[in-house]
Amino acid sequence: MTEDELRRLYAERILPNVDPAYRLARWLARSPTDAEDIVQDAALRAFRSLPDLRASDGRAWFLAIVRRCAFTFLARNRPNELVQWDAAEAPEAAAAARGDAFGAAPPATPEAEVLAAEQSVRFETAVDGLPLPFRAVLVLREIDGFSYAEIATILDIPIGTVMSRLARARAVLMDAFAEDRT
Amino acid sequence: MTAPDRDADLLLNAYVDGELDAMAALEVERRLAADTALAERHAQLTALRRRLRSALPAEPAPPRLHEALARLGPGQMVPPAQVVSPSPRRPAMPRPMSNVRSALARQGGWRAAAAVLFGVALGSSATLLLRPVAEPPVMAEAVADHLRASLAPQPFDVASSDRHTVKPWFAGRLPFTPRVFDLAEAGFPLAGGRVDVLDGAPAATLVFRHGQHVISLIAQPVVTERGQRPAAGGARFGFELRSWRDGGMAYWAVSDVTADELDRFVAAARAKLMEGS
Repeated sequence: MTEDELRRLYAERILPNVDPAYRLARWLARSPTDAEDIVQDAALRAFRSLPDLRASDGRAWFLAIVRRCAFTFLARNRPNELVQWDAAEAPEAAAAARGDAFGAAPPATPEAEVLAAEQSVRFETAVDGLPLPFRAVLVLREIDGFSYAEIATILDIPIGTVMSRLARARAVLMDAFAEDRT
Repeated sequence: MTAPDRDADLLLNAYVDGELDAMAALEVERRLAADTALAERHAQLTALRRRLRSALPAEPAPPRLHEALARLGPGQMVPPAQVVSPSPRRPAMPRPMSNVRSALARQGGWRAAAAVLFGVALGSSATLLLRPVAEPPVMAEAVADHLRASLAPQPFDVASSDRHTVKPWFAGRLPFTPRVFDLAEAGFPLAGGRVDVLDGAPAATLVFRHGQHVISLIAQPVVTERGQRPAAGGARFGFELRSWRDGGMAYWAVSDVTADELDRFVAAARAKLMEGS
C-alpha cells in the first residue's frame, strides 16, 4: 500500500469518525479526558491496520477499534465494570440496571433539587448510571444513530443481543421517568 | 414479561428504529391500530427517544483531539511548539498494577514527550508499514512497540526500579525467564517492565530512564542460533535502534536518545548480562 493510499484511507475512514468515536469512548469510560486517550490509541491502531481494511468495512470498523481500546482501558482501570458485559442477559442484570438508573442518591438540598429537575441532567445521570452493556447499545443508537448491524459490529455481539439490550435499556429509562408528564 | 410479550417488545423497538422491512413494519402498524396497550407502549417509547435526543446532545470531540489526530497522517510533521498541551486529568481510581510511581510517569512532562515522539516519528509512520525489503520486519516492530508504549499513559505495565519486583511480574506472563537488572550506576535507572509482541511471539521489555528520555530493551529467546553478535542497527524512523544476540536471547534497544548515548547503554547492558545474575 503506497503512502498516498494510506493517507487517503486515513482521511476517509478515520478522521470523519472522530466525533462519534469520542462520544463512544466518553460514554464507555465515563470520562471525557480518558476518552481522548482512548481515541488517540485507537487512531494509532487503526492507522496500523489500514492495510487490512476491506472495501466493505464501513464506519463501524473504526468504532470497533475504539470500543476495543476502551475495553482495554476499563480492563486496566475498572475491571469490575467489564465483568458485567457477559452477564447482561441474566434476569438479575435487568433488576440491577433499574436500580442503577435511579442511580445517585436523591438530591440533598433544595438547590440541588432544582438542578436535578433539569431534564437533561437527570437523563444524562440516568444513562451514565446504566450498566455498561445497556449503556453501550443505548448511546450508539440514540446519539449517533448507528444501525443494529453496525452496533453488532462495533460491540462484537449478535444482533439479537443488540435488540434485547436496547429494549431493556429503554424499558429501564421509561420506568425511571414514568412519573414525568412533559 | 412472557415470551410473546418479549418478542412484541423487540419488534416494537425495531419498528421505532426503522429496522423492519416494509412488510414487517406494516404488520406492526396493524397491531398498533388493534391493540391499545401496544399503542400506549409505542407512544412511551417515542416520547423517551425524543427526550433522549434533546438530553444527550451529539457533543463533538475537543478541538485538540481533532488536531492531534490530523497530525497523525504520513508526511505530516508538527514542530514541538504545537504539542498537545498537558491537562490535569488522571483518574482518581488507582491503577491496579502500579503502586510505585516514578517521576517520569507524571502527566505534564510525559504527555509532552509523547506528543513530540508522536509528531516526529509519525511523520515517517508510513515507513513503519512499508518495511524495507532487505531488513527483517522485527526491526520495525521493535520501534513500533516502543512508540506505542510511549504514547500510552505510561510506557510500562509494571512500574518499579526493583528487579525483585519486576522479575516475578514477568514470571506469570511469559514462557521464558528474562534477565532483569538495573543500570542506575551507569546513568540508566530501571523504571519498569512490560510485555511486547515481536514477530508473533512474546517478548520481555525492560524500560530504563535517561534524563527525560526512555529506553526500551526488548528481549526474546532465539530458537535457532547460539553465540554472540556485535550490536547492529542505526537510526530507524526517527529513533536509535541497536540489536544483538547474547547466548540464547535476542535484544533490541530502542530510544530517542542520541546514538552515542544508546551505544553507552548497550555497552552497560551487555556488561551486566556478561556478569551473570
